Amino acid sequence: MGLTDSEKCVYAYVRSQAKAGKRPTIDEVAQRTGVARSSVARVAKRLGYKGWKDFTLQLERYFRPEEHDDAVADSTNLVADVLVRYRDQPILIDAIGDVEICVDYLLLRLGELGLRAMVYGRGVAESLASSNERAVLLLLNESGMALMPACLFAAERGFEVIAITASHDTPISKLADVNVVIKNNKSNVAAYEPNYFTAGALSYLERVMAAFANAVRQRS
Amino acid sequence: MAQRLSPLERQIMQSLVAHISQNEEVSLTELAEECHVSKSSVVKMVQKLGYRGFEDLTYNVRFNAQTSTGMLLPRVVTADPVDRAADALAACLARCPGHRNFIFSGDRRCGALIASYMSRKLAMFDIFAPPSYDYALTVPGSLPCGVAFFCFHKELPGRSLRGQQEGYGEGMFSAAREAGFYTVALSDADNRIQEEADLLLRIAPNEGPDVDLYAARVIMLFEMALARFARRRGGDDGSHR
Repeated sequence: MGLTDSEKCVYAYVRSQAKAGKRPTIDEVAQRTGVARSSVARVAKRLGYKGWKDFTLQLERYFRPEEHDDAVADSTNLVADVLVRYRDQPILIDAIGDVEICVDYLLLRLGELGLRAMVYGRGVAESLASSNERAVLLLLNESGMALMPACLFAAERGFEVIAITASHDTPISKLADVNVVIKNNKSNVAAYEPNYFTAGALSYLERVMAAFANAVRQRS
Repeated sequence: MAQRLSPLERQIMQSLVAHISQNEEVSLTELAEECHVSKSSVVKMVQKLGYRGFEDLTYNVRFNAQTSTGMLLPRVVTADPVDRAADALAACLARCPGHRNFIFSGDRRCGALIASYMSRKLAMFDIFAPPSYDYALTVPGSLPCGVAFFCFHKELPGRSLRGQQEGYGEGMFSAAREAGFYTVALSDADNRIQEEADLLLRIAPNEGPDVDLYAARVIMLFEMALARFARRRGGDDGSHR
């Protein structure tokens, strides 16, 4: 479902207020964004919330600091569950850019946990598909663009795709079955600022592996 | 006062949101040019959204991005104050240009990953420090010896290198010291040789047996140091003009 520009504008404003711990009223949003009051009110339902109260309350709750640990745990458990489902199937890995160091990390770490990790390659994916083997592709790509061919190729062959990118709004994250967003901080060399995308990805993956090991322990 | 956005202002906002959603940095001038409006029109629109000005908005976007990552990242990076450690590492980076440097990449678990990351990023700053475990790197060549970086990590139980790290990297470390390299140890281990490093940066220890955040911590410290190095280099460039 695509949103109109006005609806995106309303969402952006409510989100910014929610980040500051505030729940704006319909009147306030209408005033601030210049969108008609009736259109503002409709956005909540267009986005799938029960109503305005539900919309603002859930967003405000999402951005509460104490909810963050839970949100990370939910996300890591979700990816760990996928790995549990693919415990006996190949887990393909691809990454590009700074975060490509995660390929070697994952090959070792997944191997230590008894999983069948392998590097993604078109030939590898074709070989698996021709033998009707199910597989999951774990992609790490900050821009969410460069690995689009791998993502498409895997999706077309029915492989599940887990994407770790820096934005929800990228071609790869839209196509993936499970989408993990780790914020980045791009800057140029002359005015460089720390970019913690790769550090965040490594931290995230360590937590996923811990959740996976925990899930396996519980099942056994 | 009613803060209605005009159609033109909505168009500016739409362009701004497009940049933000792609995590792109956009300047006030670029945005104004892209939308064919004056800079003051952009500022006026931004103020209607509740920000003090364009800088205030970009600061908030960046800050929010960082706090989002903050949910994942280790809260403690170094055993000593992190600012001091980042400054010290930045000072080491300033020693690198025009020298032969290397980053020890002896193990696949951590050393090779971190070395590969650092080497790639340093090349963007015209600093060449290949990842290597080859002793040939310690033999003086046409370039004078610069900085040799070493990662010393204490493996957690159940990991590939656990119990195999005694004496690890010590030969290369000694060779680098003898050749005249400035040695930097990034360590959460307690080996004896790291005490001989010209700079020992103690990485905060892991908190439990299940999650190893050593590599993430080293990369965070390195990123902080890169930013400091870039600022320092920018300042130096300015003073030479």
